[in-house]
Order: sequence, then C-alpha cells, then structure tokens
Amino acid sequence: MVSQDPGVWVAALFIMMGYSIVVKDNPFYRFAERTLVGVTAGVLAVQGLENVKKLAITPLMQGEIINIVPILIGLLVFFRISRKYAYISRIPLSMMLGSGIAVGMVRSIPAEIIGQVKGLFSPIPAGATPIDYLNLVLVPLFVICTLLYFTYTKEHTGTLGILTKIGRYAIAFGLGANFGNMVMTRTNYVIRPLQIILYKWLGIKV
Amino acid sequence: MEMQEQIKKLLTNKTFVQGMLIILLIIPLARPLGLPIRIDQHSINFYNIIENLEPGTKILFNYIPPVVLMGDLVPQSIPVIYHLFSIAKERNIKIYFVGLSVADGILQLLDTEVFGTIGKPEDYGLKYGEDWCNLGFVAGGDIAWSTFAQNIRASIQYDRYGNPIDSLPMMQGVNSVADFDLIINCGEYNTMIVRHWGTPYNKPILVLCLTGAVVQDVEPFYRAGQIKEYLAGVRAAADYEKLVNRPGRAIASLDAISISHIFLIALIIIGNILYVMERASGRE
Repeated sequence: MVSQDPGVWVAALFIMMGYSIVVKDNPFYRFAERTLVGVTAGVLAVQGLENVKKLAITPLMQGEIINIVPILIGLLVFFRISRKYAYISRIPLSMMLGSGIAVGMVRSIPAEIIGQVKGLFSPIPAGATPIDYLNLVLVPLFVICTLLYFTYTKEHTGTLGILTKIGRYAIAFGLGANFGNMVMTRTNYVIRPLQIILYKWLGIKV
Repeated sequence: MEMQEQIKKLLTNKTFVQGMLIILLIIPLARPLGLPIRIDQHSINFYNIIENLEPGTKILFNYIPPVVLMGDLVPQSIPVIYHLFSIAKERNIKIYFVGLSVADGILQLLDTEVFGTIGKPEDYGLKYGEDWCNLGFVAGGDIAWSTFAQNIRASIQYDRYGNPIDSLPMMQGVNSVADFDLIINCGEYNTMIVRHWGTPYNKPILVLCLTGAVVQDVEPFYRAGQIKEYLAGVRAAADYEKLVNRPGRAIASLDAISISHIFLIALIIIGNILYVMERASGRE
C-alpha cells in the first residue's frame, strides 16, 4: 500500500531526484541539490538564532546582566562588513580560537597522548586469546615502526630501512582497514533512503 | 585485449557501478534472503554491560547522530535504547539524554525515529523527570564539552521541553559528569567524549559509532581502555536486534550489505587482475 503521508511522498521524490545523478546530470537532480543547499542554510540560520536566544537573550532577560558581555563581544563580528573597522571583528574570533585551543590542549594531552601511550603497554587481560598475545607484540611494533617512518633526520637504510618498511606496511594495513570500513559506511548511507522508498513510500512489508 | 578494454571501460563507468550497486541493494531489501548472522564479540560484550548494569546506575546518553549519518547510527540506537528502557524501571536506572552538538533537530530523532519505533518511555513505565529526561542540546566545541562536564547548570538551565532542570527530581545531586556512572555516545565526536568526559573523570564510555570511524576514531581508544566497548554500524545494530530478540530494520538490511560487499570485492579483484595483466603486457 503506497503511503498517504505527503511528507513521505516529498522525501521519496527528492531521494529519487537525488539519485537520478547516477544516470546523468539532469534538471531534477539540480533542483534537489539546490533545494537541499537552500533548506540547509535556512535551518542552520534558524538554529543559529535559536542558539543566541537560548544561550544569551533568554538568560539576559531573566536578569543575568553579565550576559551582556558575551553578546557585545559577539556583535563585534559584524564590524567585518566595514573595510575600515574590519580588524575589530578579529577580536571575538581570536577569543574563541584562543580559549578553544587552550581548553582542547589541556584535555587532549592526558586523553590522547598519555592515555594512548599507557594503553600501548597495558597488561594482558584475563582470558586473553592467542590473538591478544600476538596483538600485544604487533601493536607496539607497528606504532614504533610507523613513527620511525616519519623521521627524516637519518636516511632509511640498513636496520632503520627495514623498520621503516615495516612501518610503511603498517600504514598500508591501517589504510586498507579504514577503506573497507568507509565503503561499508557509504553503503549504509544508501540503505536508509532506499528503505524510505521501499518500506515507507511503497509500503513493502518484509 | 579488446575484451580486456571493454571490461575496463565497464568497470570505470560510474553509471554502471552505481546503478548495479543500487539494484543489488534494492533486491535484498525488498526480498530478504535470510543469510545467517554471526554475532560479533563486541556486540555481545556491549549487551552484557547493559544487561549487568547495577541498580541505580545513572547513564548520560549523548545522542547526536547527524542526519546524513543516521542510516548508520540510528539503527544501533533503537535496540540499545529499547534494552535500556526494558530494564530501567526494574533497576531504577536513570537515563539522561543530551546532545552536545550545534543542532537541536538531532534530538528530535529520539522522538521520531527511536520512540516512533520502540514506543515512548512511558510505555515502559518510565516517568519523565524521574526515570528519564532530555536535557536538550548544547552548542559549541571544546568549551561546551568542557563546561558541561564541570558544571551542567552552567551549560543548561532548561530541558528540551522548556522545564527548568532543577524542577526535575532526577537532576538533584547531579552537577557534573562526575555524578554519572556510565556514558553512552551515539554519533561523531568520540575523541571529544574521551577527552572531556571519559579520561578526566575516569568514567566508562560505550560508543555507538559509524563503521568508518572504527579504525581511526574508536579502536585506538578501545585498545587503551578509554572506551569500554563499542558497536559499529548497521551490522552491529543487527547483532543487537538479535540479542534483544527484537528483529528490525537492521537485520532486514544486512543481506543488502552482504550482497553489495560481494559486488564491490568482485570489482576490486577484477580491477587488480586487469592491472596485473596490463603491467605484464608492458603497458602503464
């Protein structure tokens, strides 16, 4: 039974217009593409305004006077439209960048460097399989060899050459695994729209 | 040689490859073949962690599947949330949904895609504000994640439905990420969650992630113990549907994934054979 829901019809038609690019470029595809760009821009604009309302205006109206400070700093961005005073717009951007980088750096060192190095030499878990023991050797070996591959102060010959070659293969294995996973992810992107067409629009029962 | 050229032309024809892929996806979606499913160990571990949650566990569920990636992420969240809801009342488990992202629309997926499929929390005997809540979204990058982690009320004053969060009984005594027992992330930003929530507060993290994020974004943290367990993509969603004995959309799509992968593997093999043949015949 074909769906009676106009929303499902619109979704199905736009999905088909979008996928019509598989055959060749056509006006239906371009219409769907431009509609998507327009709708996305509209949604993001509304969400941006909602953010300002929720995070700044509403608390200000409720008496949190201090919120006037970030609002005024945020408004400085609009100096960008003036050639003469455009430099002022860099003040809020630099504040955002500076604080963002600082907070990110403080947290990323223990989580992404120390935590990762600690994990590299973690004890063997209870009930470990032969594969776990193999990984215990392979993972540190591949990490060290990959890091050596990116050293440029000494020519990669002799023992160093062998190790960097192992590093190169380790990178290739990693990229291969990543590629396989990405292919699966991309396939999954297609499945959802097809399910909307088959199950929601055409009403096919499985 | 002519046949070789023709095959090469066919394999490099975008319309042929994409068209075949879509056809190979549509057929098993419309008529599932019922290929056997072997449940992955990660899915079993994930299931066991949820199944063995202690009474009174407080779960912070960051729900941020972007619309473009929802095909990979939402199917996983449906059986996992179903599992949580099924045991929440009996064990007094509290679930706090939040969306650390720029878009409020994402949290709407909870109402439409998740509750629309498994039913509302109230159908499981869960009361809003006491057993579950939706804290809404928080915009911003590192600063938003860090602020939320340290002081929830500095980031959020009202829940998604406009109620002051202090009016929710389950928010009493909950001030920071330190007050939760388990963190679940459904979406991107796995690095952020480890960086700002997991490692600083030593909290276990479960992740529902994209298949494509496993190698670079999740497995390194998993190996280091910074992520306790993960599910990845529709395949894991199908495993989980089987584990909670609630067959759904993911199981139905597994045949399509398998068939499309066989097609892609065949293309890679043929492409490589042609390459080797070309090299053997002295051509670039």
